[in-house]
Amino acid sequence: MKKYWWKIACMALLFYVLLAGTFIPLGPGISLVHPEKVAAGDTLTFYIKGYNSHFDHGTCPPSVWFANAGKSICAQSVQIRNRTELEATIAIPADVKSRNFNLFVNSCYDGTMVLNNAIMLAGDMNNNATPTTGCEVTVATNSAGFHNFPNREILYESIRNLFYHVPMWWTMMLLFTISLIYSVGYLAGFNLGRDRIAGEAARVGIVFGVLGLLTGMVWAKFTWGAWWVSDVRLNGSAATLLAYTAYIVLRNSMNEEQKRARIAAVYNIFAYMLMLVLIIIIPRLTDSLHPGSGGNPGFSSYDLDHNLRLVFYPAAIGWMLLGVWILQIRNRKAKLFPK
Amino acid sequence: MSLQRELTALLGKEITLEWRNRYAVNGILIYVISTVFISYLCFKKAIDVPVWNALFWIIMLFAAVNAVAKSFIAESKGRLLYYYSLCDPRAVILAKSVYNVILLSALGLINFIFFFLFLGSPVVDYGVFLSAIVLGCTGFALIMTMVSAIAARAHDNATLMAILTFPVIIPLILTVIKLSSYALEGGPIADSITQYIVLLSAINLLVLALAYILFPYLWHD
Repeated sequence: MKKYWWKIACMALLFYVLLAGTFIPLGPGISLVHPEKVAAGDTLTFYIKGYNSHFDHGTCPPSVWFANAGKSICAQSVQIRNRTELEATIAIPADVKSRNFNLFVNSCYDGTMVLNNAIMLAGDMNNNATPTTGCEVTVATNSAGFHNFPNREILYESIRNLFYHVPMWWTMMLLFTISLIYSVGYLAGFNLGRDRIAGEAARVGIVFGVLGLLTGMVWAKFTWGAWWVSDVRLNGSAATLLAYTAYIVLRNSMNEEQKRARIAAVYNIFAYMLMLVLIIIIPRLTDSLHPGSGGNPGFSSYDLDHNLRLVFYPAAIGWMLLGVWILQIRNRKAKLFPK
Repeated sequence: MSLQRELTALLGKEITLEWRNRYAVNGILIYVISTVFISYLCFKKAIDVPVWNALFWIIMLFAAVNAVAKSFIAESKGRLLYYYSLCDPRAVILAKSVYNVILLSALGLINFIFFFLFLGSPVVDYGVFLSAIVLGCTGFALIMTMVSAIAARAHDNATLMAILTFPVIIPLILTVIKLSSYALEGGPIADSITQYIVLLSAINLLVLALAYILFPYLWHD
């Protein structure tokens, strides 16, 4: 039992990640508002649809307002239809200063929900209109104390992919690093066992890399609208996979064990060092859509909130342990049935 | 013999051999010229600056693979054995690297001249463009010399050389394309030229150090 503790931990962590990552709901947010176009001076009734919201809960009714160029425009009346639907009558003043309106809904139960650029001004802005003053907004803080994942625009439910996509890359890098260490180790003592581990680690690493690429592609399609975008991060990871596929091709091209081990180890060290340049240094010099480079903040700086962390770190550790576990099994198999 | 003397002797031998038959150099030269000419026929001069830049480096890349692939593969087994018994492996890799650096830098300049003649030249900053050619060709030569040593030891085939080269050359070619785009008209504002020059030099030094350390392991059977 003592020997297997890390495998049990791996299973427990991944089980927890699968459950928590799937069933913890997203925090409340606004998914839709209708109509989306307004003219200055209109008084309209807006239909507002919430996502995972609780409009009919709580002690105080939700308050609704638009923010336009720093000024608040409050609803005259708010009607609650049900848990996720609201109707708010709002008068758009004649002297709006910006074309974009951000929608805010605040309630004691859900806290403040925002939909940026919720509605647009159609027609011209009237610069000569008599100036009006904005309303005072009363903001209630939520009392329920949610344990939800953040509801972010663009990402929405796909934020759960964080527990699969990012750990895949970490596991891949871990396995490639193990492969590098054993290659260096092989050159230090010419022990074929180390070469076997180096080769198997590269193979398992490629599998995790492909999974990282696939989860990333699904995510890119959802958030950026394309399966693949030309981006330093994406191209760097694709090149890394190519390099290690080349490493496997190189290994397979030779039959003599000692010679294969030595030459493959040399290429492994060579490729790993250049890949470090490609995925660590170059993305820091270029612009990128991908979080974590080129002015795009990584998840860690502001997106990775407390509730995400509680699942993300176990996920990272769990997937890395799984990678090492698969490596161990593959290594044993290769030891039993040498080619 | 000291490393330095071995190096000069081996380098002299490379150049003499090449000068004696001029087969490889002429072959590569015609390769470059005909590729540029075919590009000219296909594009009919209607070629914008980013395409010019990409085409230049892609032709350079393929010419370089062909030029360097022969450096170890073309050596007969008996002659390699003779070197092994005679000199330090580090002298061999350094001599081959230096020879290939000279060869590819010349090839880069020739490539540029023919681009200039057939496809026109959008280059505005010749200093930056020449440093891109020299640094980029040096990088190509260093990486490919090492990879051709690996490929030659593995199996004497050119496919393996290409498969092994392309993934590891990507960081270099991305950086050099970026650097040379600063030298072309309509290129990005020249605010970070030095950082790319430093990065290219750093990659070259890294590859040289790796080749120096790792090549002796490829050596003995």
